[in-house]
Amino acid sequence: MTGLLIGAAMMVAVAQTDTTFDAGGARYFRLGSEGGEIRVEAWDRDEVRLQADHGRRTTIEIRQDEDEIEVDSSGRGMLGGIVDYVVTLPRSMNVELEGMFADITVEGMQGEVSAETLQGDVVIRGGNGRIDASSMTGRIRIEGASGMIEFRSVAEDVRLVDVSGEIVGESVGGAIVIENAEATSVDVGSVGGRIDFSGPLADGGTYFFGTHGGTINIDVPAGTGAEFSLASQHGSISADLPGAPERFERRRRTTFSVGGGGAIVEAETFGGRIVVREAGSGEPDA
Amino acid sequence: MNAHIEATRLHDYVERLLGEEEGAAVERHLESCDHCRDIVSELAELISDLASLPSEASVERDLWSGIESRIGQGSGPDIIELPVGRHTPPRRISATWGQLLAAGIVLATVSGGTVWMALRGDTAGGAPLAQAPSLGSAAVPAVQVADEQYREAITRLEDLLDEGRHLLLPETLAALERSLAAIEGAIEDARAALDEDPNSELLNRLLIDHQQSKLRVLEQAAAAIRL
Repeated sequence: MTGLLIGAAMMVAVAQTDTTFDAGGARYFRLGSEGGEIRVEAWDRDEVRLQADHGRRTTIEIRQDEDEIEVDSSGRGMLGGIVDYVVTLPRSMNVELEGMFADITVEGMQGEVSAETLQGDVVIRGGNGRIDASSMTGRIRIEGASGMIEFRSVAEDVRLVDVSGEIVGESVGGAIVIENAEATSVDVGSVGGRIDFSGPLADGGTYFFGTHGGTINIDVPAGTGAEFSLASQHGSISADLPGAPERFERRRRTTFSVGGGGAIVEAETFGGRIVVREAGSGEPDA
Repeated sequence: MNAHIEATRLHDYVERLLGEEEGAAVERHLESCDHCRDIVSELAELISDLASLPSEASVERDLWSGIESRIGQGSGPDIIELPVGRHTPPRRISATWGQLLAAGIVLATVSGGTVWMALRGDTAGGAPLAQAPSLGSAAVPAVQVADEQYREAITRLEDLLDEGRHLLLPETLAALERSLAAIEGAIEDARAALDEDPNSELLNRLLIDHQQSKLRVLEQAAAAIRL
């Protein structure tokens, strides 16, 4: 904690905790959990409601200072045990959640959101500014967020829907699907999964997609202006856009411009396919 | 009260971010807890190592000039220069234990990262895009140096993973091993292809990219073990 504790820590040792307290204008909410579900919802009050289901040997600890509220659990020994949280926060708060074996869902927040879990799914709906989502073995879904969006999944799929801003992330084994994005920059990569991107390309925006073996599908609106730089070592490339080359050679980088340029798009793969086309011209390649 | 103090609070203690009362409580705990004292000792060492690093900008500039002289100037005929590469904006919060652990290998990886940025057409120290050289065949030795640095850093983290694998759940470990095997396969593919085509900009780039992916996965695994 970086500030002095001004509120007394509340220690509750029952199987269910349900408490509502004044947020005091705090801008940051942090919660750490070893296991269980973390669900964060938003409301328009300057109050925090904390509901938690937990074992009787588990203690929920709430610390509050001028700018930050921190929730943690502890039990006998080092582990805090399995706790299912439902937390309702002032909509504008910045949220930081960490779990070891936790499914995390954040709904309707308007501030920054950071959600990291070792084993579990992460779902973020809403959020502005820095949005971080990380899971080693779970899926990640981010909807309607804007700002600097960063994700990392080791083994599972990532899906971003209706997001805007900058997007950076990777999934080693899973697919990365970015639907209807209004991104000013994208930098995503997967080793074995496919990458689907659909959305307008910003004038001056930069977009990088890389895979080792997966397919890269890039769907852009008709009339898009962009410079493309596409490269594949052993895979194939096709670009169904006005002004694009009809044939692409393997082991060479091919650059071309459509619609007078504007955005810069780079895609590369070792053995996968790269497919660029106008939106609405069919389902993405699997 | 936990039997041990959580790592983030110990980090705050090492960085003197705790209030007087909380700091004193940590010190009282450390007097009787070898485990937490060891963590504090490791954190202090890591923070000291980080403090001894030159600033990021100056590191990049120095390395960049060396790389630049090997790469040469001018754009290749079929390479487009891109203004940005993968980046990690500064985080709002101070580094966690896992991040500090990862930062411990910065010394080994920073030059590799710079080479990687060169491959991506990025510029060092915020130099204008137009001045960034494109990759030519002379960049390959720099990539090989970076590859070796990654191998060393990866080996250290793999050793750590081996030591702590029993601390991970079987399904987590299985997912990790599957992912690491997939990345290793990709690295081997890139290396084998580079044997036939050592000057390929694409292959050199893919090799460094895969090394970085492996490093990041191992960092996550190391952080998970520390949890």
